[in-house]
Amino acid sequence: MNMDRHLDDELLSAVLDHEASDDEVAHAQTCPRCSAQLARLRSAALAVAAPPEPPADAARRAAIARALQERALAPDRHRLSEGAPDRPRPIGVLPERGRAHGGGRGVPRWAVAAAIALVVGLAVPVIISRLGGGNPPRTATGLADSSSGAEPETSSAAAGQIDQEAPVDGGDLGELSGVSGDELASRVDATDPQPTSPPGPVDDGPVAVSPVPPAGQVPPTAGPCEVVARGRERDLGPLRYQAQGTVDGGPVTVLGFETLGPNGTSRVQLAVKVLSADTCAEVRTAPQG
Amino acid sequence: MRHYAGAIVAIPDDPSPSSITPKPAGHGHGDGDGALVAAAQAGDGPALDALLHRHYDRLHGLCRRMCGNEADADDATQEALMAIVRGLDRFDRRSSFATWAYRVASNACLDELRRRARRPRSEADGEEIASSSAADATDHLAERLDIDAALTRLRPEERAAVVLRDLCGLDYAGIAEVLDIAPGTVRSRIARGRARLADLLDDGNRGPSAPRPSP
Repeated sequence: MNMDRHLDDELLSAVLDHEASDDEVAHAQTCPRCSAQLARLRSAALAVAAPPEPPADAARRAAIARALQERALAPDRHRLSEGAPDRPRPIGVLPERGRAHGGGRGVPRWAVAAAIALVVGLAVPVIISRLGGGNPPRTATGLADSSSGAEPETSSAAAGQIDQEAPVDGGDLGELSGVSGDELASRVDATDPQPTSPPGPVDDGPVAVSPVPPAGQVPPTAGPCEVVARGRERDLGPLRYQAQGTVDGGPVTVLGFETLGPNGTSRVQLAVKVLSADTCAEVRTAPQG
Repeated sequence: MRHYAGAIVAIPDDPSPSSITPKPAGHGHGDGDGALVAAAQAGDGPALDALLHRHYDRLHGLCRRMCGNEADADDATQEALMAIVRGLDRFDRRSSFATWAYRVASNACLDELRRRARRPRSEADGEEIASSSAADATDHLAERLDIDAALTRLRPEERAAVVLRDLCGLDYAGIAEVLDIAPGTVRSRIARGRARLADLLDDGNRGPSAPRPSP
């Protein structure tokens, strides 16, 4: 092949990638004009080839943990999709955000929400009650009378003792409206092969769980306390629950984070953080299965 | 629980994707992924964990160059990981896991770019865009223009082709598979993208008034 014409950018780029013919390569190496342009293209390619700064280890771990939680939350979803074509969707048709947890096919959203609601409903009042000491409730909005040695309240009753609580993804728990406590519990039992153990007897104590802000208002977002909590523990997953209350007269923010169980992915847990609403100092941490 | 320490130890370190030297298809991307993929598809959490760790930096690098900034790259990478986890059981290993993961990540990046395009631009963003789009009126372009900024001025499809080739080291056939386009289209997109980058980088180095060598 007689290479008496200069190569265009496409051929020169192909030369760079060893996708050109021998004649084209020879011309590019001997022709001053083409070799100059080849050098320009090579410089551009080398600039792109310089790897960007690698992500921080913590960021890498957190991102992978969140992805693994997707699997842990919906372990059966993938079985349902077997037989689907391997080809990825066309460019630019990723699923919408916010559907990673319980919003896709497989495990129903209500099952995820119910599990979280039950765990939080049982755990948070107990946590707060244990912070208070040995006196009976002293406010009308405090924990319901839990006589010494009495069994804990049912999930629905216990959950009602926190006046201001909200799932972060309002759509999830919103689907629970109209579901009785027993029905809720039965659904969770049927869904979770390792249902949460009920908490032990509730201590009598000076517990005041009052709404902050007043009942009926939408609670504020977790805000800085979520950031503080994540700063302390890098592996906290998505925020799934928040509530406002008081402990010994001091306002607290109760946050429920998804976390991975032991060994990474075997099971999703809920780590409940009780933080001072003023300082975000941790009052008590109580991971719940 | 199954343990994969032996298999993981046996996997060679991932080769750097930074070399521009042409590489054979795959050139080590995903070597040794087979066992991990099979185990992960069978529901083994640690295997999936190991698989994601193996590929995270490469996927993040792709997203970093595609998105042009760290925050969007983080978001796109996260979306990609989620999509990989969701779709892993649909991956039938006809292509390498790396190629499949790159495709998922490329989709996530393009989606991120579309979302970003829909977001209201801040004043600072507007200044940046105004400056970069009026190169001949900017005296300090050389100081500001880095490779990320230059890449953001390519069309997304050209950017994807260039990044997959030059950063990720995929050959034309692999890029064609990732982007679901013909190899000839890959070739032309890479060429256009590199030529445009060369112009931008020359402008940045010499100033806007310097002439470009005539073709």
